[in-house]
Amino acid sequence: LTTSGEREYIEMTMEAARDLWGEKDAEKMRQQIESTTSAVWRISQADPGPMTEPATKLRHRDRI
Amino acid sequence: MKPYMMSLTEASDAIQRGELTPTELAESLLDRINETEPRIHAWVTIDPEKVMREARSATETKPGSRLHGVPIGVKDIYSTAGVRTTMGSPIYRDYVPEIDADMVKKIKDLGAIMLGKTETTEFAVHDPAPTRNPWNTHHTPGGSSSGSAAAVACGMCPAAFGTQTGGSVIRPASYCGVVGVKPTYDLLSRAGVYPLSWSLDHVGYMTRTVEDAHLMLCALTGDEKKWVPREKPPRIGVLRGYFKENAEQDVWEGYEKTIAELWGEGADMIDLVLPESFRHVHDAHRVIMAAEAAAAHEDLFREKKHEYGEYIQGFISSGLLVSATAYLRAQRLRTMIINDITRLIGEYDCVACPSTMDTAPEGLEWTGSPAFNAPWSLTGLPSVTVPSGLSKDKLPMGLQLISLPYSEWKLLEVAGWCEEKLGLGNRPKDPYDPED
Repeated sequence: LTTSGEREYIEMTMEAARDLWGEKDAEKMRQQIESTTSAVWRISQADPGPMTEPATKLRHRDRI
Repeated sequence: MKPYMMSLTEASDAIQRGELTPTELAESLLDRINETEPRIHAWVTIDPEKVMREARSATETKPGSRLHGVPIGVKDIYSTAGVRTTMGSPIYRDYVPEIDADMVKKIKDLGAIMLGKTETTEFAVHDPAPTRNPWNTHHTPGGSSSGSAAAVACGMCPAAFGTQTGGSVIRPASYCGVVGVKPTYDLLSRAGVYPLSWSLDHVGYMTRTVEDAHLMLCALTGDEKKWVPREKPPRIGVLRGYFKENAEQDVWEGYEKTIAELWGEGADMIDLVLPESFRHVHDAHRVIMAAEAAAAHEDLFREKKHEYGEYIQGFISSGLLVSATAYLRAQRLRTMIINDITRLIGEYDCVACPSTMDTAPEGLEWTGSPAFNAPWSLTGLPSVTVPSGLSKDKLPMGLQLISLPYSEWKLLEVAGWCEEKLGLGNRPKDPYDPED
């Protein structure tokens, strides 16, 4: 992921969308798929470090 | 004053003192709905006979709580026993739940009356409801809690429930010139509310005054605290940076004017710099919301994809393509952002930014951008919007205040202080159509 460009990554994802839902539906949904895929690509460029745990359970109560 | 014009607190106090009956209040609100609903379209389902039956019953009962006999609107993604709950989707057009969502049960147990179900965008996402903004009926009221905000703004009810995953409580409240509260994540139960994104969904509500918001918070948390208007000027961190770069000029000028006014009233207004991790907010929010929405809708979507609106079809499909590692990376960045933002807020009573990047957009095709609210949904921090003035086009603008987890009480104190100093009215707005 880190070695490919954003555009290539989007096209790779669109290819998967075409396989799943067909050419016509995938193109109709292109804008949403591109937006989410761009966000995925951009966060792939950020390194939170392996010690940063996911916030799958918010722990606000532990903070106070 | 007609009962529909009363704030929640005024109506509640009048009922407690025996100066107003729940029957009189319900009649007045239903009259107001009859008068304004044809121009606003805030309601999906309302049963006047049932409302009046419950109001008469409440009139015959001694008030046991501050919400006794008060009608409250409920967004149409909250389950309501025996009352149609559509989620704003044709898929659920005839769905009648058997049980109430926790928050609905809570207000009923306190003697409140479920007035009806308010319009929402489809599954609380994007595809708009038919609701119009009372300040200008050619403009959106915002979304996704469109009907709740518009109904409170024009006096159809003194309070209404909404939900927020991105900006669905604060944005419509701001666009409609009312107070909106999005409490800390998980403070109020989401049980019985149709999920969009489990780790981002918040239960919230709208009222016309901050004191009313305090009363609602007392009722919903069961924590009875007396409303004491704050006297000491607050210490507020002022956010600019990202917000200045993305706000429309009118909104930004209004925000700067508000900050100057509050400073002039004695508030300590300190410039803050957003942490570096803030630049990941919208990408992390998007990835988490898309992936969780896809997971929540996966089975129904497989079966009824073509009954979903165009936007949400694309949104869910995009989430189905997010990998597990991408989702977890977004959640790890979220941890960094939460840590950085809570450190930033640390020593202040709260931080401030505009409630929305613009005023309510013209047209009903979309409900506006949640960009100024999504950071606080992502971090799960409590936020509130207080009306702060009108734009050149006479549309409401809001001041958004954010504080540390579980500091809602202090946040509302500060919001009340700002509300008093900004001195805007809070009576219901008669629907305005510039072509009338």
